[in-house]
Amino acid sequence: MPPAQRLPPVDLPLLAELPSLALRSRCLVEGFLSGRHRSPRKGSSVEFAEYRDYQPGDDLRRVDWRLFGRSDRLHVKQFEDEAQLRVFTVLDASASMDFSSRREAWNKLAFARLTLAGIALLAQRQGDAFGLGVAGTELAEFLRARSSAAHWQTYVGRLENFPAQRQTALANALTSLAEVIPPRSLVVIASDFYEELPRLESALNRLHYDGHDLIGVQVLDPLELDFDQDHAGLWVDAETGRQQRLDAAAVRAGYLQRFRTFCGALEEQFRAAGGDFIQLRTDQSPVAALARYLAVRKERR
Amino acid sequence: MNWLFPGFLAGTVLIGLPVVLHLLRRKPRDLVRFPSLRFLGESAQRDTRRNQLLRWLTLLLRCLAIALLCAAFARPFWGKSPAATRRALVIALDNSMSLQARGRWDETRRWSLSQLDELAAGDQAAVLLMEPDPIWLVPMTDDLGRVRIALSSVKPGYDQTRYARPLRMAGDLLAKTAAATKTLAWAADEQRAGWRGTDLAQTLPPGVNFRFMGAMPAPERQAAIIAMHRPTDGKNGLVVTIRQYQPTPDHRALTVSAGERQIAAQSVALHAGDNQMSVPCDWPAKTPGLRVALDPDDLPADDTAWIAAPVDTTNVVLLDAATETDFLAHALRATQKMEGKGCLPEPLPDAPWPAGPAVVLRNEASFHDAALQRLNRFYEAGGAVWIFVDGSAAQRDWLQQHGVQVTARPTPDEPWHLRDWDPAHPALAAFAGQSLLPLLEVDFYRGFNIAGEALAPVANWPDGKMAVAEEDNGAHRLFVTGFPLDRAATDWPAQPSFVPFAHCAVRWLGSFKETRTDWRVGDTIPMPEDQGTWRALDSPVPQPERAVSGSVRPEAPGLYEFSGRAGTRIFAVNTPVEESDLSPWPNPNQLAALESVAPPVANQHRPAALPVAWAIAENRQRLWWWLLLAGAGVLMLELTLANRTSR
Repeated sequence: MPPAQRLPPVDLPLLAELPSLALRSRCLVEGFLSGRHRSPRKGSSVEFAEYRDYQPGDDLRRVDWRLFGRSDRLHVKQFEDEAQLRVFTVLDASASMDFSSRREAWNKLAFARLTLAGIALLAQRQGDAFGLGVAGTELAEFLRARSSAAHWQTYVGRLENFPAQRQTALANALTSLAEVIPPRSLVVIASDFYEELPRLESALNRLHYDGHDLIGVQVLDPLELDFDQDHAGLWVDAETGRQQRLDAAAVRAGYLQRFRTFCGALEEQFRAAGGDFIQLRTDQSPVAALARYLAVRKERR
Repeated sequence: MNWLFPGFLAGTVLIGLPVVLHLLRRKPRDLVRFPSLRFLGESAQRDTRRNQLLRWLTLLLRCLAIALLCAAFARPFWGKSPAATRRALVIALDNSMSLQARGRWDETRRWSLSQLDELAAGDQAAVLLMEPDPIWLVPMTDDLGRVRIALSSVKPGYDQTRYARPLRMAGDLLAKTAAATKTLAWAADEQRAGWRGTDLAQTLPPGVNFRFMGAMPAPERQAAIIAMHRPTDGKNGLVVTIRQYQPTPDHRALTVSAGERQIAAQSVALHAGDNQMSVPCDWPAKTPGLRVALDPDDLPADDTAWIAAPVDTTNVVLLDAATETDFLAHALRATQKMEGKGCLPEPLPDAPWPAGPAVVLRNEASFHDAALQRLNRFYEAGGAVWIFVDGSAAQRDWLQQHGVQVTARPTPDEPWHLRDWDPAHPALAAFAGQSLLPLLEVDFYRGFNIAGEALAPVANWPDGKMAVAEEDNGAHRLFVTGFPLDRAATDWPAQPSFVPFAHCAVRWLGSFKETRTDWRVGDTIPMPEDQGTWRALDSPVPQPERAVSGSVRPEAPGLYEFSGRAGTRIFAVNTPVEESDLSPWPNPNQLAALESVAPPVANQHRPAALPVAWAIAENRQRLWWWLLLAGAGVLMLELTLANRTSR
């Protein structure tokens, strides 16, 4: 993965002012691509991929006549750039994602939506199919993978309008997703992954077993990462509603230690499942996730 | 615990600042929404409680640090508070020569100690020594043992009694003291001469009790040698004046000695009053002086006197022509009746002025033409000049050239009176120890302001501008009086104080020709040279040889020698004449009336001046240093805790 600071800068406050997720994601991707100074398309590839049976309507120029001579059957050559990648983006719409600690930071859920929309748009431009899964207590929303422009509009509409859920179970949602998506897809999960790690591990292993590539995008608020707050008060858990009277300064050291241990274990689980893991701060550009998508796509081809 | 500067304790209100900040900052927010509390662990509650405790502890340390700093600046000390001091006693101890009279000193000391015996632990006492100048032998203290030791070790001297200043000093100190009972113990023999010049109508501050020793027993035999001189008829020997104070006739043995050798002895019959007698004797060659002694009486200190070998000089003063009656010449001629001290006024010669005599200039003619040249030559050669400013242009120019600016004063509606007289100036030697009232009462109707960087004021006009000033830079001496000596400008020449002032001034200006040999204890003797050594040739009090400059004020009688580059000079110093008169103040009731009948003023406010004993106690204990140290330690601890609680 290229270092984050070498990625093109994206003006997050400017993005936040744009009226729709579609526009925001388009700006994000345009900004990302213009920064790379090269086209994401590699032009028409001539690298042979596989044969398939001739079907009426196929261009006769692509029929392998030599093979016809040997086998007396019509086959059509398929090349690499025609091997379509299926990208399934999974949004964790849990209550813990509906959080923003400060004015200049994005809401975690909005940030995750932007990131996934950006990846989807990038996929659409690459000619890849992209679908959507939203995690509730089960798979609360599912959109099959397609690559058309009309599908992009549907995708963005579903992604943008799905509200945060009080109760979610990401592991269950991922297991359900594994049952409905075709094998060898790319699954991009945007979440804070506040889930029981053994259950999550089981779901990730299932996806890995089905031949899916995994990218875990952990979306975190700066407060969660730094815990640089000094006030005391009654703290409320966004997911469980549990309340606890705390002095932030007093518990900071313990919190950071446990949180970093959790993140380390989470990353380890993704690595073990053959996936990538990336941590995004809501006050920084999400283009690292886009870059990671492109890197994975390249490896797949 | 007491405080030297309790005002700093008001700084403790600053403690409210961290308290307010703490309360504002620690105000808990109602609800803090957070994605997940799963990472806080079970110890979070415990950590929170501990941090809360640490924050309160930090606040406490901050407050403590402020309190310690305020306390350190307030300079605390352990000691009795003013309210706790039940009694304050000032013992004003008369150590003048008259206390050497038989039995007087023992009685005075015994009485002083008995006053001290009345005090208890927690009470305070001070000892004020009256002579030669009032000085606190022991400042106000609760260490009564120290006062007792000081009283036991002090001895009477040879100075003249002056009660006015010690009385006011003791009264002022007691007025500032916050004790419940304030007593001034007047350990003195109530000599009539001592009370002279004291304003007995001015009572002590209210609340001060005044205690007397009571009348001392009158001496049975008391006579003093009050004057000696060589016979004016040229015969050998001495003329000795002995004043006998008791009314009954007496016979005394008189001896004359040169060093250890007795050269004459005779029995003298004395009656009350002055007895002048001739004592035939030959002055031994090269003897510095003679000692004349009577057989001891009740006050032996004044039974011995010294006379220095005479110096054949005459104090000539050169005067320019007076525009009207020459008051100054008359005044100076009047001094010729004083043996060896008189001044001879002579007109300024038309020839170059001789070095030595002081020159007095009063009119403009002395600053023109040939006179001006002579004046410049005389002045540059180191001469001493006294100028009465008349405002003339030539005089003004000459003074301007020598760094003295003269400006005329506006004509007053009421006559001016000079103020700020410098009592230590030799020109006022005649008024030493006496009231300066005669000088303060002189009227002036015309005058000039004097200014100049090198001038030292001797007296000022009522608005503080210099009226009489002197420049003495070692090379020459310039004495300037900012008024002309005529009746239109001042009535001083008609006042009795003019003669002694003029006499002392010209003597000071011509002090290099000082011929006076008869000095008294307490006088300031001008030295013939700026630097030299001073040693006692014959004195009842052993004194080491010492370097002197300018002047000497001997504290014991005797025969003294000054040695300088130009040679040696002998000075005879005898006891003050008035001090030999042991008669007490005739009206004891008048002295008792010095105690104020007004009710004591409630001492609600702290006295403006801090009691010296407090300052000493505070300086000895130095608690502020430890408080500062503790404050620094507390601040360090607070810093450590604050870092831990806010990380």
